[in-house]
Amino acid sequence: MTTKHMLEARGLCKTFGDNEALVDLNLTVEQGEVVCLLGANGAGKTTTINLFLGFLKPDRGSAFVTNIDVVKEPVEARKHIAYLPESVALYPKLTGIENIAFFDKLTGAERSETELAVLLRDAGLPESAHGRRTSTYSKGMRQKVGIAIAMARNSRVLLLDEPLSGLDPSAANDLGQSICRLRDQGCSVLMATHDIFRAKEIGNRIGIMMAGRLVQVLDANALDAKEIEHIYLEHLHGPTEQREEARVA
Amino acid sequence: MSKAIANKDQLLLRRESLVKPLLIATVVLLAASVLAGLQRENVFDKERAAASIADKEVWMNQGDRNPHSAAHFSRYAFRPAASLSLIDPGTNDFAGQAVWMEAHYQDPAVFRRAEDASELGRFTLLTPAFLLLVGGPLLIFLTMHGAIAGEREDGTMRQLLATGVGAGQFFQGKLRSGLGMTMRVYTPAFFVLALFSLFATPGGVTADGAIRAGAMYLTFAIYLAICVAIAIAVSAMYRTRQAAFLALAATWVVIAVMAPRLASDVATAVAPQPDARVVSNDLRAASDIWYADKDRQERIQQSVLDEYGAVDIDSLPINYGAYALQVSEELSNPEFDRVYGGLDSTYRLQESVVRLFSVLSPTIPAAGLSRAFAGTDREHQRDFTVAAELHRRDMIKMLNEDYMLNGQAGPVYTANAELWALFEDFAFEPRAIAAVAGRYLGDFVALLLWAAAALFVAQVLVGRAVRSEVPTA
Repeated sequence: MTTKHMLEARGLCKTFGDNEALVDLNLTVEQGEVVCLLGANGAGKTTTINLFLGFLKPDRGSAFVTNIDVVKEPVEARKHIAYLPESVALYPKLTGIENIAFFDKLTGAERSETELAVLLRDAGLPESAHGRRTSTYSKGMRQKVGIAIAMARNSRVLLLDEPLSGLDPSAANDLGQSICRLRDQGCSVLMATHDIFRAKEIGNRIGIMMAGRLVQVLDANALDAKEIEHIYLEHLHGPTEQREEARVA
Repeated sequence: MSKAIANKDQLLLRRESLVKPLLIATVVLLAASVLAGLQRENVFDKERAAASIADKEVWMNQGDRNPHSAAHFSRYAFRPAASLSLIDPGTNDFAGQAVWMEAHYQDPAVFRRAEDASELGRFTLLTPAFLLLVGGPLLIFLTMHGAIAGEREDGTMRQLLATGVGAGQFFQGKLRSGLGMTMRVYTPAFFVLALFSLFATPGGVTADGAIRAGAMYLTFAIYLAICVAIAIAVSAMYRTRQAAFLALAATWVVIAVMAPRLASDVATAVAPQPDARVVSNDLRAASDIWYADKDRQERIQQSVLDEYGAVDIDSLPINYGAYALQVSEELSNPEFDRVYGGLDSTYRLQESVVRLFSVLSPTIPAAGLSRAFAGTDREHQRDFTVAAELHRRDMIKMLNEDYMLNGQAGPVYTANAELWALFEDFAFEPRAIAAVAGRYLGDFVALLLWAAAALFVAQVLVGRAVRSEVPTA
């Protein structure tokens, strides 16, 4: 009998031409758990997210969302996922409330405007912005609408691809809190990020990715941010002694 | 899901700054075309009615006259206005609307508005059918070019697909949105047009007129649906609105402007119309066929003399000259049928060639059906000229027979208003569209094939666009 993981990667591989974007990834995310993927650009974080979304086809291996094979049943798998990219794409000529109402209707739900406004407010979007077209929103505001959409969909899995990138500290903090709320409600989160400190704050586990490989998985509660940074940099540039020698030379 | 996508698209479209001016321009142009059509039909109806009354008065008041002289004096057959000619005047302006029914000769129809139009007027004939056939696709392409390309450009397509929307649902949503918006504008506009046209017709609203209006509505609805599917298909091929717009603009030029023009030019090259002078000479020869054969004249004279046991024509109990006139008519009639039949064959061949170009453009079969249901195509015109010719033959026969039976005195014999009153006015009732629907089956099938093909291709291309964004879709 197989255990039901909310997300599971089994030997996932993906290459783009000669470039090995992801090599033999094995990873699980359990219910109510936040797993952050740390890594430099090109480490394979976004490729991992895209493979779970079915935006890419794996060369080998399988990706499962609530035990549904993403390649075999992509549409069914995506019904359980809420996705927040680096920059949430909203319909610029619709207001915040109209955008969330549209995505809400896609799930078959018919929430009232008041209920949708509560979701937007919970995601941190001020009420004064609800009726404004999203073309006037800042990136942070758009990300908050994205979180509200995720909340509206009652998804059991949240995939976040650099959601904090480019946000000011206050907006990043707001968004972090929203993600924690979703986690506390039982949502499973896989987040790709560069932000070690935010990963430590939000994540239960932190996976370090290098050149398409998941090189280490850390317990975020067992280490402080400095230790995590230290380990990450060691993977990135080699042990501290080597880095020192290299710097002196 | 598809309903949510359609509603969202319609809301977005209402907020497009371009849409309002486009809709206003469309309504203004439609209103202008209706007003121009009303004015045109009104003037024409008045002219026709006045000419018809004058023709009858002149006929009845011609006084005492030899019947053969009356046959040359003769009358006009006027074609009544078709019930939907306000929407599509078709060939009306170029085909004659009246036939002079004289003895010895089948005159071509006269009273062509195009002959009276200014040079500029010939290029600016604004009709509702023209607006629907040429302006309809343009409006759809202008408003729908970003249907898929815009979503890809903005990144919203990926966002939308990430929620578990399948390629089929996405396509259905886009189709539903396009059709919904199009029909919401088209249906009331056509309803108003049809009412105007049916009530403006002198004959008033008839069951056949209503059926024709329904068939015409269906034709344009299918045509516009094809344009919606084309817009979705082309939009799905590109990643930016600008590229999709340019591609759709080129598509419009091909299907609505160039293909019909090209079809017409090729048809004329394949089946050139005979020179008008040649046709005129052929008709004249047909008219003179009796006089061209002296032997036949003598044979027929002898057979009549034998029939009556007479030694010469003066001793016959009938006017032999009038008899010969009728024989001459009956000899000429098949020749007239041959000459006009030849012309018809040429036109039919041209139409067949034009129909082949339906492969390039749905505008071609849609335009053919529009004219057919309006009752303004060549076939309806032919029905009129055939009916007028049959009326002419009956009329001339009656006059010849009166002369033959009562005119032993020769050319000095005169008939009077009692005889003139026996002639019924020419009344042309176009055949019910249900009775002649078979003529247009080819165009209708072509339009349906276009609809099926456009929907299929659009679905395939949307599926391809979806898979390019989300390969596992």
